[in-house]
Amino acid sequence: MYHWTDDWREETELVDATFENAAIGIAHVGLDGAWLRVNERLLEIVGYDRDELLAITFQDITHPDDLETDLGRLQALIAGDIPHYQMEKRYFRKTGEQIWVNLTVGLQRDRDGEPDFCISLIEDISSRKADEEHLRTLIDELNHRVKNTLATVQAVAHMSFRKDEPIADAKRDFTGRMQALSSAHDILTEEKWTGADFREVVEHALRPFGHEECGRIKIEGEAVRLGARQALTLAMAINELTTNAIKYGALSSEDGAVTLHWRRASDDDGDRLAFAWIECGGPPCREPERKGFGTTLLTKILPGDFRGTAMLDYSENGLEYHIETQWPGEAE
Amino acid sequence: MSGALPEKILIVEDEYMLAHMLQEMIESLGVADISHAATLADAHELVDAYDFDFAFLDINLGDENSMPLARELQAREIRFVFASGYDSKYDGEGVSAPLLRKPLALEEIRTALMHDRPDESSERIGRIG
Repeated sequence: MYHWTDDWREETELVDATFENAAIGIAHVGLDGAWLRVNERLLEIVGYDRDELLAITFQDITHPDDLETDLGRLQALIAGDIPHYQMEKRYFRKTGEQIWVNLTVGLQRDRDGEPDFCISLIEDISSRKADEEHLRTLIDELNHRVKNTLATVQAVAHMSFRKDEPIADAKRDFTGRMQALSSAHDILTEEKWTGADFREVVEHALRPFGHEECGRIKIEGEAVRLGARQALTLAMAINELTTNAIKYGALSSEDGAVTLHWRRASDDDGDRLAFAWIECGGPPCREPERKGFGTTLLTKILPGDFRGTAMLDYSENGLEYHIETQWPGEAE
Repeated sequence: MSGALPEKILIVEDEYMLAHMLQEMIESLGVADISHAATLADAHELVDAYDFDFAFLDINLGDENSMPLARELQAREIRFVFASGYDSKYDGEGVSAPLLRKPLALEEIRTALMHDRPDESSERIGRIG
């Protein structure tokens, strides 16, 4: 492997330079764990001066949870059971800060073939470990959201498919509800699930409907930040109101129109959000005989998720839906 | 105790749609007296005011979790189960109760209502603590 030549002096200098200047930590470590020779990069990684590091052992700076594994492998290496070993482990820097390194250890034997010292290569992998940790967190969060979504889908299915509902109608309505949920997911994903803007939720929820119908819905309101759950519920409420208006309400006749407006209202209890869906110009409406998904969503679920009170008014002029809630956002 | 349905049930769940579904499912099993709380504070108030004999606790309630309420129910000897969408990291902290996993099936709800150790009769029902 290595050839001693007449130029041995030059060659030794070359090897020394390689040891010292390698961009990876290199050390000779005694069989007892004492640092015998260390390079600049290793000193940078562990944050010790050369004299300080040469006065202690690798055991001194190794995380206690990694020590047993490391010592076990070292024994196997010295005993000749394994030719070398590699492990990811934690060191404490001189400052006390914990870092992750990738350690690769080989054995140098003396002229008699007896174990002499170890040659350790030490690479700082802290940033990769932090990335892995971050990825783990993201996957856990994604799992939570998928599970939450599945639970929501179950609830929508439970409330959509009922004994007294013709199956074809139930399927169509269920699909519309899934599209509304999906539209809110799009916004929440863009916003990294920190929340969503009221108007954006409304506009996305209206996308599955025709341009002609949507053109007759007048939307007015200031910027309001909603929590994730509120955004999902609002999207489904807009879907129910619009579907109903097209089938039976203001959007079923040519002259009908809808106003959707929301505003901040303040009283002694602080800021409140008031929003309303007001239909006009359509056929007179009357209360449905049976309370379906839409009614439950508008009168129970949406006021609950928004911490407010709702009123559904089936008047001669058309359907009106009013709701007043705590100012959303901060609590989420 | 086994075989009898509870009479007064508390549902603690921060998502109203899930609470509504659970209420309908329990009603379909023949229990009519069901209350719902979406926050810990509301739940504590209801527990003070009514003699519940069973409770469903969603573990994660927005920024809160239902462990403090679980301890109170345990102290009051009110039977309860946890319900969660994912395997919880909670070790129970002195509380021991079955864990139902969402989505909940009607039969799992029935089993949880009627048996002290529903986790011994179904693979999908776990236990915290």
